[in-house]
Amino acid sequence: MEQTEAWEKMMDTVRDPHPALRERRDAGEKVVGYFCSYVPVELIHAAGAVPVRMLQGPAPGDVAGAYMQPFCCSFARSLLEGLGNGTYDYLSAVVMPHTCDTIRNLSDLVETAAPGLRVMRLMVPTTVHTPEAVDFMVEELAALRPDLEGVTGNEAGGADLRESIRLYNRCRSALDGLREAGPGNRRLYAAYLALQLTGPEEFLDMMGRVEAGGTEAGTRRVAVIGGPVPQLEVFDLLEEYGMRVVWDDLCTASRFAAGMVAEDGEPLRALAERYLGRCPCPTKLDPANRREQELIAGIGESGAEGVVFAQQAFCEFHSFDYPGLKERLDAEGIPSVRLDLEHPFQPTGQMRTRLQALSEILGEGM
Amino acid sequence: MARRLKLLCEKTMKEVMTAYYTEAFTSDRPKAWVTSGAPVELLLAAGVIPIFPENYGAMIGAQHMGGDLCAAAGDMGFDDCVCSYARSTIASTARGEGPLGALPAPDLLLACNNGCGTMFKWYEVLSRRFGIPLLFFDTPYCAGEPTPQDRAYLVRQLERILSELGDILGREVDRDRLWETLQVSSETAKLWTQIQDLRRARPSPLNSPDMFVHMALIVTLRGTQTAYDYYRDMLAQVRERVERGEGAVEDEKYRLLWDHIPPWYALRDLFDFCADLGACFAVDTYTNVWQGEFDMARPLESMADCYQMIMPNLRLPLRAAMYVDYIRDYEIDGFVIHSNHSCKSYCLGEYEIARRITAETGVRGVILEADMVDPKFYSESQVKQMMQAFLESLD
Repeated sequence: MEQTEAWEKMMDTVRDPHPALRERRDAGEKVVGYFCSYVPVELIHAAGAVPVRMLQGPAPGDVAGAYMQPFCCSFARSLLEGLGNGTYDYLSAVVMPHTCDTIRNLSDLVETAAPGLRVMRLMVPTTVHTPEAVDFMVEELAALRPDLEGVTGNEAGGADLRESIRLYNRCRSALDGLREAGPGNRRLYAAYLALQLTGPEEFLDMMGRVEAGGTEAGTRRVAVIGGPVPQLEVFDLLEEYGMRVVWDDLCTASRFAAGMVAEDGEPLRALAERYLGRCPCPTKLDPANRREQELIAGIGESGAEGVVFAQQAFCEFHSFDYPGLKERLDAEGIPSVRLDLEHPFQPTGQMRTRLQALSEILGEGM
Repeated sequence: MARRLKLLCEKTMKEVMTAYYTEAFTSDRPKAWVTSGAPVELLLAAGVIPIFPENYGAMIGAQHMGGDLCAAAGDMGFDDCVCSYARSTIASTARGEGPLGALPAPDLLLACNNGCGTMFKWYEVLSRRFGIPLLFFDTPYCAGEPTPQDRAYLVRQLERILSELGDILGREVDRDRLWETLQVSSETAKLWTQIQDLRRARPSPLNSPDMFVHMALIVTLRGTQTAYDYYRDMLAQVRERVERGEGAVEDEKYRLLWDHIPPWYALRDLFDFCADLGACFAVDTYTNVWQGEFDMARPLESMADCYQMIMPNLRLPLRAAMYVDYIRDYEIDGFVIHSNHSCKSYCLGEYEIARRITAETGVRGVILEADMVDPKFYSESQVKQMMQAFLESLD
């Protein structure tokens, strides 16, 4: 397959994952949606279902408007819209974890807006660094497992779960390798998203067909920090201003792929330890301020010269963190700008002005 | 003009709150800032003075200082989507401004996420700014009865908090004193529940704005004899009012339910406007949150249950069922939901709850858009027009 064609296939998976997933449903496979990077995909996969991250929903419309206030983020509004209007009609179930207040409450609204869809709750603890939190997560995973098995009719324990753990670890390694090779913003972030929008086997197959290097663009090295950024257009926009993303803390990219699950030991505990052990997302308690420390360390290691905050508009959790992180970056002399994302993504004049300013600052320093 | 029937205990309230804040500002005892839904009994038993920034946010709102302080928080980088209690009190501390100036600086923090996730984010900011420890009680969202893993997780956390509190203070928390505090807290909550029950009378002896004032002690001082004595007296006085057939609103015509925290800056103005039209808010969801009664045969488990199962931490079907019960038990004619701009936890689901209430009871409601502290999201004329039209539609 031609390189362009192989990459285009991956881009298609990201742009519109729904037709392929519908085909798989029609072929008898079970597709299970999940809402955030704290849901162990390995468990869904081990049960024999295709784990698909809830991304790429339609523009919020009548369904979202009937259930959610306009001051809720358009990311969540878009997903409810999609669940209510049939965009995700291929799903057999969704796993909804406790993350922010919006997603927590959304779990109840999904049951009403999408009647017939099985909603499974995963009470991911807000505290992630204590032994009791890990034990609680293990218990929650143990409670989720039979629910998933009920959807597929397959057992999700023992050898199957270990195999799923190994498979996803390989996917994460492949993503690490791709980042090292520097394929450019669009290709790198398409690969992260592709893993979340299809099964690990299909992802590894796609990764086997693409070549990693060659298209690196942009001379201004930036780190991007935020929540879910499922739109490749955001990364295109950065590239338009000469920015190459060399490090990120995004839950649809590095935070999703960070850290391996131990392949020995008790699988559920290994999953709990990996998922809770990552640098916490803003919806989790972070008493040691790891997020700030890892941002500064990541900037140092990657050679990023500036930071782009890419967070969902109306996201209270990221908004609480922003002033402290910005203050620290200012103190370190690292320039930053903030983009408040709406779904569907439209680059606004304000975003362009901010990126232009950052680009000029970084250009001056070169 | 709407009449305001004052209870004798209101004078006591002023004295008690003045004494409380005087002690908080002048005492050498350790002080903790604490969220309203956190297990304050742990602090009281440890001899720590609890201070409630949420109460202070309400005071900031009521004294019309919310606009300026929220704008100041915006200058500090905090968006409008951040809780206005948090924004206004963070700015109050930074600027040294507020109804009583800045609150006394804390030695430690205690937060719980049973009201919302906002709480721990807010307290993380405080922890970093003050450079002090944050004790956190993580309460899983509750679908009904707590699961065994919920309970085990919660009890282990209570043990951890007690241990860490002891480490911070340099002395162990006296368990006997904790049990005594829980007992008093429980008895006080029982009185508060009995007062709420009396509001079922026709006419209702208490209007929600009265409760928004009287709730100060159940939030701030539950677990103390002072709060117990206050509500014991209040209960007696409300009973007398019911026996006299005296209503909080003259010629009570409409009995309403209020949902959510009120817009504090419009507290009297909005509720007096409604009272002038004959509307009494005979029940509200907000002041009913503080009702936990502990089983002293298993105190820590019982604390775990009570603190997990408060209303904002319950799944929507349970919350909706509670609202339906209120509508029936208090013979409510209509409900008013405050869609509070900076409070997603309590608000998201309100549209569906409104539909379920109407479907199950036939009672209709109205949704007002505003914010609890930041007046920027409040349009007085629009809200009043909406309320007037709604009340007329109930005729």
